[in-house]
Amino acid sequence: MLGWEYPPFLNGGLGVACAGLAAALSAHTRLTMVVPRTPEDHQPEGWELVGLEGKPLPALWESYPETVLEKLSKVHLRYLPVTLSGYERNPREPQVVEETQWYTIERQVHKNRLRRASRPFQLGALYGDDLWERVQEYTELVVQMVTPGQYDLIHAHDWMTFQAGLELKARFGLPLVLHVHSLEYDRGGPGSRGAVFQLERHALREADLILPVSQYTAEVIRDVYGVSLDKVRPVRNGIELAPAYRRPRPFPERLVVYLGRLTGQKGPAYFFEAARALLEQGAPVRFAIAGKGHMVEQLVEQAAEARLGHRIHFTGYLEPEAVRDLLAMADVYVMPSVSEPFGLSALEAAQMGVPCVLSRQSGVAEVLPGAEYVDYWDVPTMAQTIQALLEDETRREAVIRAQQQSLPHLGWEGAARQVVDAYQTLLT
Amino acid sequence: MPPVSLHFFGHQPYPLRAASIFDIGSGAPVVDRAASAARTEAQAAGCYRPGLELLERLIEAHGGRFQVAMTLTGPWMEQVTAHAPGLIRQVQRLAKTGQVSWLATPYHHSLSFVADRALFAAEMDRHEARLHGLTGQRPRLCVQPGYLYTNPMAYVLHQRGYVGCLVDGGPAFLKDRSPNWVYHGSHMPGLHLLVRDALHSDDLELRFGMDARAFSARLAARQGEVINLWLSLDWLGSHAHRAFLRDWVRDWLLHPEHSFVRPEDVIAAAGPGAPLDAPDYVSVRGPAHDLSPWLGNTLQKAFFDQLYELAAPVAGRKDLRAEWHALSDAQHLLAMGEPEGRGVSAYSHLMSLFADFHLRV
Repeated sequence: MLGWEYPPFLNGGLGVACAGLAAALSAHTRLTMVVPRTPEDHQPEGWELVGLEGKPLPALWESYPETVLEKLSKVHLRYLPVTLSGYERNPREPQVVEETQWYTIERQVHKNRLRRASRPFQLGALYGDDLWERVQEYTELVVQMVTPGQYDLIHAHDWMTFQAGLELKARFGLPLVLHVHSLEYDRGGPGSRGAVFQLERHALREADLILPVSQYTAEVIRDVYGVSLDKVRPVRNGIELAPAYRRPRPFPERLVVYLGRLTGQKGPAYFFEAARALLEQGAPVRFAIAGKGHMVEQLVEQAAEARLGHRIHFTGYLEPEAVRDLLAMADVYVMPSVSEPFGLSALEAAQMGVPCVLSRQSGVAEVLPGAEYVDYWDVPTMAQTIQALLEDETRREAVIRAQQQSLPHLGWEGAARQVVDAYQTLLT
Repeated sequence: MPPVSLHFFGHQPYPLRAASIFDIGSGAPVVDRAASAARTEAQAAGCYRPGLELLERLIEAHGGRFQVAMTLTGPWMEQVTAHAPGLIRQVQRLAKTGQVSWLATPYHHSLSFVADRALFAAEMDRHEARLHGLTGQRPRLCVQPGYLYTNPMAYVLHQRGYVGCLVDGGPAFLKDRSPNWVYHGSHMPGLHLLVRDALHSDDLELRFGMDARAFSARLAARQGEVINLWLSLDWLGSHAHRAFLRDWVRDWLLHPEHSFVRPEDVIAAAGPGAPLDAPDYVSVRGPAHDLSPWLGNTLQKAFFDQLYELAAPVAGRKDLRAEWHALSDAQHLLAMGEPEGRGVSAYSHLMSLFADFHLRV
């Protein structure tokens, strides 16, 4: 199994899902998971976790003959600071190109050769500016690790690991299962067409089996990436059932919570607009926006401009325990995502007994029918629904009860069995 | 050659406690008392005590030839009284020498002049009263946080009986005029303006590392009525700075015509001077030398507005007034102007505190 995030090195739900699935799967199959970075002194029970941090990188460029280098030296590369990625960047600060840097490929090759020879693999940020380089290195190290006959099947999670999966399939003829937690379509918006999109499309077409986290994402794979649903089997995420608890609010107002990265994909701006609408009507409510991301400055500024900074609170990134504490105080949870393949934190909120207002454009809708659903762009309805859940005790109780009825069926065990069934179709 | 007028600005904002959404409704005081004590004790030991000792020794060593001006804000005096009372006696000994000029400033180091003239007057009164209690002297000049100044201030300050104000407005304000002359307010000849000699003050504050004799030579070459070297009192926290000051004062006074003077003496000796026009705020800070480092962005303006909306409700509440004033320190506004997310963090923190405070009001 090839993964990128693993607790505690998390950006979103990917690492949580990988860890949950791996633990449940290990009851059914032998399993090795390779991730760039693992916590120190941590080895899970019943399966093997391999971290690549510190492993020496192969010196791939050594073999270039001088004649090739000479030809390459005639090619000029021009680097421009352009944002083409759906991951966190700050598009509000366009960079002015003051000085164009020219490199010859020869210099670039030389640079790589030196770097390869002199340092071990290090991830740095999960999704840093050097992400592509890290993905290449991850791919090389994974391919180097595998010997023929060692594994029966490759299961790769999200695009960062797809290249390694493709390489293993090509070299050893191993069946390739792609697990799709999130697509460039979700992260970068429906119009995204960049290198990541290309890689995703290529890999999805080459894969033997695709496991998206929802029917919603299965349809995106069909409609946007042009892949037939024949080899697509949605496997919905599970949740580790933890004891729910409530925590008294220290303030008299009710509390409405947004939880997630502050990026366009997650729709925090719609949440803000709903909050503003309710506060301008004088609703006795506080709103918490928990998470970080490039939209934080814009949102904080809007809150300040509206003189609502004393009612709309930006908590920044919260540790998992703090997230649970916040949910334990919350009266309503809102997930206004523009495109959400699944939405694990909605399950977490439901589990904590918080009524949810969720975007229809999300996968979690398929497993949590009891929650309230709105279109992310329909701010008036979102505000009305929040208000109804705050004021209408009967409706509120009904939603909490309906949500909780879905939860027992959402353990990772069910997801693991679906995955094993899917493996069987490839191995027989 | 002009005399030197040294001025030290002493301020230490009340440290605010950490706060997040989990604390709203806690009703806890906004000031972190423990941090206030710890910081004051550390600053007293490393900066204020040795710094004031040095000034005392210089006054002793050079008779009437070494004089200095000093501004101590309300939070400085309060925290020092509470956590380093020995310093108060040092301040009183300095006052007794008669060689120190004490300046008036808004008691809480706030921008109350910008927000509300009545609050401003109350803060100036309170500062004067406390300063008088401490030093037995009445200030004759005044200074605002960040050396802020604007035309309407001239009238207000003149009405209050001050003879001058310390200002700094950068090159756009001074145009091609020298800071080494004494100016006065636009249409206000009664209110003199002393201008910070940015070049030489920054030599000490930002580009420190000069030889004492070379510095004297640079100053001796100036023309005018005064060289205004204005520094933060914290500047005296460095051993190297104190050593430099000791050496340079001795070096400067080797020449019989060199002297140190207090701002009021500069004004008394000055010629008629020219007016300086400040239709907008000028200050020591930022590339534009204006109000923008404090109130340049939306976060700062929002916090400022929302805070001053509470001024009236808090006025009658003895239990809340001091805390409201602690929030009004101009230093907190500066923090919200910082780049790279630090301003946003500062705003989020302040608004959590403010929301908690708001509930108590």
